[in-house]
Amino acid sequence: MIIQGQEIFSPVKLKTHTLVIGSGSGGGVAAYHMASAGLDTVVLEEGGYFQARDFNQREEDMMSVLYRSGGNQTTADGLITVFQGSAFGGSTLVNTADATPIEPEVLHHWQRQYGLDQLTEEALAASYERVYTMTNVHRLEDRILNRNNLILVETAKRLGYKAGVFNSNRKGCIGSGYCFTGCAYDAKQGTNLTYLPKASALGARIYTDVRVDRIEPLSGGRYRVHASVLERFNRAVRLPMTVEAERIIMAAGTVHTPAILKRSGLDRGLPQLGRNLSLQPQMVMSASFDKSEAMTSWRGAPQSAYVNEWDDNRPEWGLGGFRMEGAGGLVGLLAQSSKAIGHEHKRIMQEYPNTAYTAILVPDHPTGTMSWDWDDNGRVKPRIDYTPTAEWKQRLINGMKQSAKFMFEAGARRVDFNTAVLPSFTNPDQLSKIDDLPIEPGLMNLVSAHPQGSCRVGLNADVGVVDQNLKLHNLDNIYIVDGSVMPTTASTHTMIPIMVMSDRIMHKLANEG
Amino acid sequence: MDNNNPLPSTTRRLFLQRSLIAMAAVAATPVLGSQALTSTAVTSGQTPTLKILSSEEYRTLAAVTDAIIPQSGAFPIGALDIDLAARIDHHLKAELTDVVAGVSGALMFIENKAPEAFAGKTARFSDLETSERESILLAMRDAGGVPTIIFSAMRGLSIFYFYTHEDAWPHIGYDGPLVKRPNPVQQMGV
Ligand SMILES: Cc1cc2nc3c(=O)[nH]c(=O)nc-3n(C[C@H](O)[C@H](O)[C@H](O)COP(=O)(O)OP(=O)(O)OC[C@H]3O[C@@H](n4cnc5c(N)ncnc54)[C@H](O)[C@@H]3O)c2cc1C
Ligand code: SF4
Repeated sequence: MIIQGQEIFSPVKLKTHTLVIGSGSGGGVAAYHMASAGLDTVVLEEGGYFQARDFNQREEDMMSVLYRSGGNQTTADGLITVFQGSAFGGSTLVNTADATPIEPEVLHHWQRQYGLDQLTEEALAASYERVYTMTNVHRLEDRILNRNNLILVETAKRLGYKAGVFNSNRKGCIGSGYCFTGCAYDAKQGTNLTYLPKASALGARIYTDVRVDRIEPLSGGRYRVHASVLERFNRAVRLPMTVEAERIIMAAGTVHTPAILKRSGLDRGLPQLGRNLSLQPQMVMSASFDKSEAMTSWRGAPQSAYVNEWDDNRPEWGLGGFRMEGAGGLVGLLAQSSKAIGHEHKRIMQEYPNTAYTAILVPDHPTGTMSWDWDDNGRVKPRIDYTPTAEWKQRLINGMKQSAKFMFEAGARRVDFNTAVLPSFTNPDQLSKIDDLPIEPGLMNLVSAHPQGSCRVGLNADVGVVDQNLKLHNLDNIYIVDGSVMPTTASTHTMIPIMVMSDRIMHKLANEG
Repeated sequence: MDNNNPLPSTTRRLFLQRSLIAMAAVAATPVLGSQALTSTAVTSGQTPTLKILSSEEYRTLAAVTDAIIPQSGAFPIGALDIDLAARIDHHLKAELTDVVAGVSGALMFIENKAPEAFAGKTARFSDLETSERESILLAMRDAGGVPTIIFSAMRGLSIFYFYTHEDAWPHIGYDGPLVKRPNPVQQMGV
């Protein structure tokens, strides 16, 4: 059963066995396993319930209803925009359905650095199989690859570089290009179309437009969760809701799961809560080609190919180096590339059809921290403090130079970045100017779609928030199964890693009865 | 000053110095208060019904968007043709108080401080010629620090809401969404 906030007219009091908070990658998987074990399951999701018929393929409308803070969430200094979905299906509703596993070197790093001996490839193998089957992960079909992405693979092949086409969780994709604003064709197999409807069919009660505010411990390892039914359009509080539960599974995402624990006063004895945040920031690059070279970046699977020549993944640090990936389907955001305004920017925009857009993904180390405030409405105001390290900045600069060079090799006539500082580049000899780029707020807009790590797994409470079974170190019967548990960034894309981590423990709990 | 000026921050010390000066200018801005803004002469046209912005803020924003996306040039239409300032006002959300406060502060700075700080002019920004406004915005971009932050924010807002408007699409070769539907939240009657 799916109950939307607008269908609730009086305060609600519920009792259940398992309460799941959040319905994205981690929460969707958890809800399904709990319901399939026959456990009475309630899911509370702050965002609204939207279906294929609601998505209108326009950024200005969809981002404001499907994304956290309407897509305006940033680090405290404004340097990085931190995108998160906030709706039925969480970020899986708005992501580009690229399916990548946790890299083996990352698991080795976690074993070496953090002693996480239970997170091995063998231990996760069955979870991959279940997750891939449920979400239909397969290599993207050639028919939906656009020139914007193919140019990466073709140029890499010519230069002898490593590159590939993504695996993806789609079914019957028509290549509309609008993944970022919700799939109007029910092709993208997010939790909204897979785990959640199945959980609902198995008896789970899924409430949307309901925000969890705090968790109150009761006797006997039980909890009472205090929540608010929200108005969809502005998220103002309409009605109170309480749920008593024997088990709580938290999956409100990297920014909000620790906020709920903090507000509940359950952070005592958890010094790592809100620390060790990775953002894996990305820089957008645009490369314009001759008019005859149509890129049509807005049609086809938007992010379908990558160049992994510069990956530098090692057990010493996990993910390293940088990657190029195609990007498209967001005319308003991609139009920001370059520093031009006025007539110059209009000239640049006339080249939109023959411009290739690329994201330069630079994996980072978990150096960010978070703190939170709440307004009178109970709405959380997260503060994300994140300063890129000097080593990361150097990798970004190298990534920008190599990527621009790559695009010139591909035949680009001009290359621009999303900064207020760098000029347009018209040949590779000019690229040394990038060496002086100050990576500072206001001078560029970096983007993160992969926040991870604010409640990381660790062997004890001194080093982690949850144990290897994803259970809170300081309390019984509370688990965390979202991106916040990752000790370092797990992969170039985070949906599958989170689903797999969640599946491993939720499947186990379900089978323990 | 033009769109392709090289990196100002190669001279890093100067950059930091400018940032500090700019910071002080912004810090002083709130003391102007809304009184100063309401005394701004509203020149042309009628103010549309606004959701968030004051009519003075709307007027400044219209001037800013006109400088960022002027009429004519590569294609005929510009910000004023779609009343971009009103469109931005429509999309601002009152509950995102930080964003609303940021936009107000930025407009106040541009209207009252930027002309003198970046062009030695005592007039208000919205009273200047289009070319002067563009020069001031470019100078803010190249100054570093808070003025660059304000420039980037205004540029981002203007470009995002202009190029997501269907009237812009034929001019940039974008054939737009495959479905024609209203915003789902509007469908719910709110
Ligand atoms: C634009 C975008 C593109 C991406 N592309 C890809 C991709 O192609 N491939 C990939 O692997 N990954 C991608 N990702 C990342 C991936 O989708 C996310 O990392 C992943 O879904 C996060 O899972 P999660 O369970 O941590 O949180 P989410 O999926 O973000 O779900 C958290 C949910 O909790 C809800 N919530 C928050 N607070 C509360 C509360 N107090 N009460 C109730 N509910 C609450 C939120 O509304 C949200 O719906 C993308 C992300 C974005 C934003
Ligand atoms: S590209 Fe495919 S998955 Fe993405 S929105 Fe279009 S049909 Fe859906």
